[in-house]
Amino acid sequence: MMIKFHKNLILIPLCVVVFMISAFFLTNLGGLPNTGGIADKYTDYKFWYIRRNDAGFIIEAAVRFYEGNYETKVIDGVSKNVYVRSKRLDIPDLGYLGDQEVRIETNGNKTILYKPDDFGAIKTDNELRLFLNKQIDKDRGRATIPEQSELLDISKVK
Amino acid sequence: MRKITLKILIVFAGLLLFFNVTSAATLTVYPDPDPETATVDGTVGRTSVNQTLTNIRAGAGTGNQSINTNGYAGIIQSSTTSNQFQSLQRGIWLFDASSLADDTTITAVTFSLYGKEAINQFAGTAFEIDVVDSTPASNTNLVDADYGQLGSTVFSSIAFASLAAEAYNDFALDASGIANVSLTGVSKFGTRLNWDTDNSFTGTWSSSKSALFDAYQADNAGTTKDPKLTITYTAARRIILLPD
Repeated sequence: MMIKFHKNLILIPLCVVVFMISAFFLTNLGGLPNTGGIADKYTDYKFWYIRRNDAGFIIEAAVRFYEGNYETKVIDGVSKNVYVRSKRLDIPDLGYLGDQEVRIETNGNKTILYKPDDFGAIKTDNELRLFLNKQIDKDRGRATIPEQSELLDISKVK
Repeated sequence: MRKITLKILIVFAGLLLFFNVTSAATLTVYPDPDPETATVDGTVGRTSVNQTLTNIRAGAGTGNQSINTNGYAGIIQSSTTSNQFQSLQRGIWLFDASSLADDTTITAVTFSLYGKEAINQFAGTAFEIDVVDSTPASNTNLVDADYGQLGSTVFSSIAFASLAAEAYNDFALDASGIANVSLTGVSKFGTRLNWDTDNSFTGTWSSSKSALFDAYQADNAGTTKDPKLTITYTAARRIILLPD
C-alpha cells in the first residue's frame, strides 16, 4: 500500500510536466504564438518614420501599432490564411508600453516615439525590429503575429 | 567686457559657419496600412474595356484597391483587338514627412518599392516604371476617380531589365521629385508605365499579353517590404546669443 502511494506521487506530476511540455511544442510547431494555443486578437506594428543622424545611428523611431486577426482569402486563385488589421491602436490601448513619448502626425494621430534611451545605440532596421518585437510581446491581450519575427533575418543583425 | 564677450561669440559663430554649420541626416517615412489613418497606398485602374492606348489613358477609372498586401505599380494588358488594351492600372503612394522642420533643406530623396514580380510579355522595346506626382481625393482612401489624378512629369524611372523581384527598387528622385516632398503635409507620389506617361506604346503589340510591375504595399505583414521614402536633409543649427 505504501509503495503504490509513492508511485502515484511521482507519476502524476510527471504526467503533468510531460503534458505541459507537449502542449508547448505542439502550440509552437503549429505556428501560433505562445498564448495557450488560442488567440482571439493579434497585434503588429508599422513604422511611421525612422530618423538617423549623419553618423547613421537611429535617433528616433515613430511607430504605429495595430490589432487584427487571420482571415481566409483567395489570392491568385489560392485560398490563404492572411493577417487582416481591423484597427489602429490608440494611446489608451497601449498602456502595456508604459509612459512613452508620442509624436503627432499631420492628421493629429498620436504615434509612439522611441529614442536611443529606449533602444540603445543602433544603426540597422533589424536591430530596431528586435527591440520593437520585445515591446509588442508585452501585450497580454493580443498575440504577436508570427510574420513580424519570421520576416526578420536574425543572421543579418550586426 | 560685454563687447569682448560679444566679439568672442561672433568669432565662435563664424567658426561654426566655416566648419559646416549644417548636418546631413536621413528620415525614412512609410505609408500606413489599412485601416488607413494617415497616408494611403494602393492601385487605381481602368479595366474590362477594349480601347486604344490614348482612350484607355484618358478614360474614367473603374476600380481601386488599398487593402491588398501587394498591388500594381503599373500594368497594361492587351485585348484581342489589334493595338487595343483591356486594362491599365497605376500606383498611388502617400507619405507623411511633416516631422521634418519647416526650414529643413532636402538634398536627396529616394522612393523605394519592394518588388513582387516584373513581367513583360511584349516583344520590342520594354517598358519603364515612372515615378510621378499624384493628387488623390483623400489622403486615407482611394476612389476610382483617382485614376485620373497622376501627373506626367517624371521624377525618376527604372527600366524593366533593372526591376528586381523580392528586393527593394530604389528610384532616386530629381529636383522636381524632391520639390514634391511636403514638410508641412502629406507627400503624394504615383507610379505608372512610361508607355502610359508618354502615351506611346513602344512594345510590339500582341493579343492578350501583359506588362507589369507588382510591388508590396504597406498592408503586407511585417515591416521588411514596405514602400518607403528616404529623405536626406540638412537642418540648420541655431546659434543663440545670450546676454551677459
